[in-house]
Amino acid sequence: MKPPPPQPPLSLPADAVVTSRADDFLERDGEMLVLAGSHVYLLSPVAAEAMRVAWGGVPVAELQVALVEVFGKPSTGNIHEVLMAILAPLVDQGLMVHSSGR
Amino acid sequence: MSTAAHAPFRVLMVGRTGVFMAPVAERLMRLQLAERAIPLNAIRVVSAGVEVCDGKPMEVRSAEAITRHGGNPDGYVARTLNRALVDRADMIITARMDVHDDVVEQFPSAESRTFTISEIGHLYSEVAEMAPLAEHPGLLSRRRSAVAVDPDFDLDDEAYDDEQERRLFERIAFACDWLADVWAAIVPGAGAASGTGSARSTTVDIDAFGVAVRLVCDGDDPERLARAVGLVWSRLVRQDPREPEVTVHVSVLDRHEDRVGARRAGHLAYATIDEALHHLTSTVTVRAIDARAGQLVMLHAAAVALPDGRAVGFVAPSGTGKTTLARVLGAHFGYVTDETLAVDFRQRVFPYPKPLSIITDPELGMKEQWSADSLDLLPAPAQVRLTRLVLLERIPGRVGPPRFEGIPLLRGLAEVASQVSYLPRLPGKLHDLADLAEAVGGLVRLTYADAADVVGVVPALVAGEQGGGGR
Repeated sequence: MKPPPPQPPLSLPADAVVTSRADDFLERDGEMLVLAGSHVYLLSPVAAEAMRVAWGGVPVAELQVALVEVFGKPSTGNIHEVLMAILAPLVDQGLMVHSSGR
Repeated sequence: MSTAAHAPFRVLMVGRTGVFMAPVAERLMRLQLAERAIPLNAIRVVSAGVEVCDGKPMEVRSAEAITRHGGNPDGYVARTLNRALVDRADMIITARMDVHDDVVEQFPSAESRTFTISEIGHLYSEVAEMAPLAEHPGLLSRRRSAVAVDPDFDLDDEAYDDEQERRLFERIAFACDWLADVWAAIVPGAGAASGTGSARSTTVDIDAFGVAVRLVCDGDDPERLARAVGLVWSRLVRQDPREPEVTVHVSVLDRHEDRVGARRAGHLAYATIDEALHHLTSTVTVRAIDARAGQLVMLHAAAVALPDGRAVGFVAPSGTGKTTLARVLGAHFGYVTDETLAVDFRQRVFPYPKPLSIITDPELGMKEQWSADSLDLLPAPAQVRLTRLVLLERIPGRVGPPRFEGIPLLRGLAEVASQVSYLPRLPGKLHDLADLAEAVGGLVRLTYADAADVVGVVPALVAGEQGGGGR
């Protein structure tokens, strides 16, 4: 008997809306310390910026533009895939939820 | 994940097939918890298999083993591991590392909650018993990242004969019994039997950082047990007891059947006084922490105080040297605590000079309890105020004197937060913690090799110096 396949990597369409979730947070020098449930996470500046932009909910495409404005385009890789790699751990830890888009 | 104060602690036992070892672990764990009168709303145990197994019954030999050990195999239906089960689980226990790896590969976010049975045994022997149950997975996981765990208790389900199979199930039964003892001592309401005890029972009243705890000693020789408790907790025994906020019934009984009966009546019941003293340290500490949730900042930290009441707290994960440090520093400065530093929002410290736990039986994770008085530790002054909060980093073999330096607030708080009980219940949550850290001049990290070397830097730490010591 084979185990079920691993979970697929995060893939969200451009119009999916992502929203940040936390019970409390602190910000210093671009970083963010987040309390969610009983867990505390120290977020990098780019993850912190994503959380800030998405507090009220934001489409993935707009979030991508906002992050590029602050940090510039990634030097390598597909920009959407880079964004998914940033969001995946946030979604996995419950710090961000998403709708499936239109 | 459980975040409410007393939401059930959910345990998921995971095997490969879901029909062989996992159901035995599930049912024997439930049996052991029921025998200790632990209600379903305190700990819930379910099981699953990493292979597709939905709807299958357990194997006949598994059902026979459960019955042989006094459990009930009826009604078991296997379930394949899935996202919902994993997300609901506070702790996931696997038979061995390859199953652990399969779980983590499928559900990476479960990594910090997933342990092999060997990891559970070894890591619990070192850490975590002084914290509320919901915090154990995090404490165990952080300790795991620092030590190599021997997989000597992993359960192999291949190439066995009847005798190997019998031993396999006995090991599961042993592990469930052992783990149930650990959990029974610290679940909310541990030892909270109804009534005031038997006619022979003897009480000992303790002040645990302001929480009035009454220990009702019972069993074969209540007087002897009470004397032992009184000696070990000498510095916290109250001669003028208040109405207790927490009452714990504890019995030492020689006969197994008597212990089972006492546990069903809500007592913590042990075979020896040493075993009772070992678990009582956890029980008193965790019940007091439960009682002050949301009212005090409670850190896993050792602390000492100068005669003028200024205190330094040393934050570090369990099992990394706090007790040794407290024992050494307590010969020179007032001993405040070796494990639980309770502070209000104005930096007032509630001393908790509890017995110091020293491992004497690594095999069973037993720790002998030594009173602060028997170790001749100096008493803390009547009024204690936190003036410094230090993150400990002990590096065995490090050459040179201890060194301390300030660290960025968020990075320090990220470490400190993992050593705070009931952080989500503080009114200001992270902000309360940040306020405390800033009120004591920010956080510093102290790097050292030998506890004796730290004695010399305590005055500088108390004085609020931002850095110093050797390289």
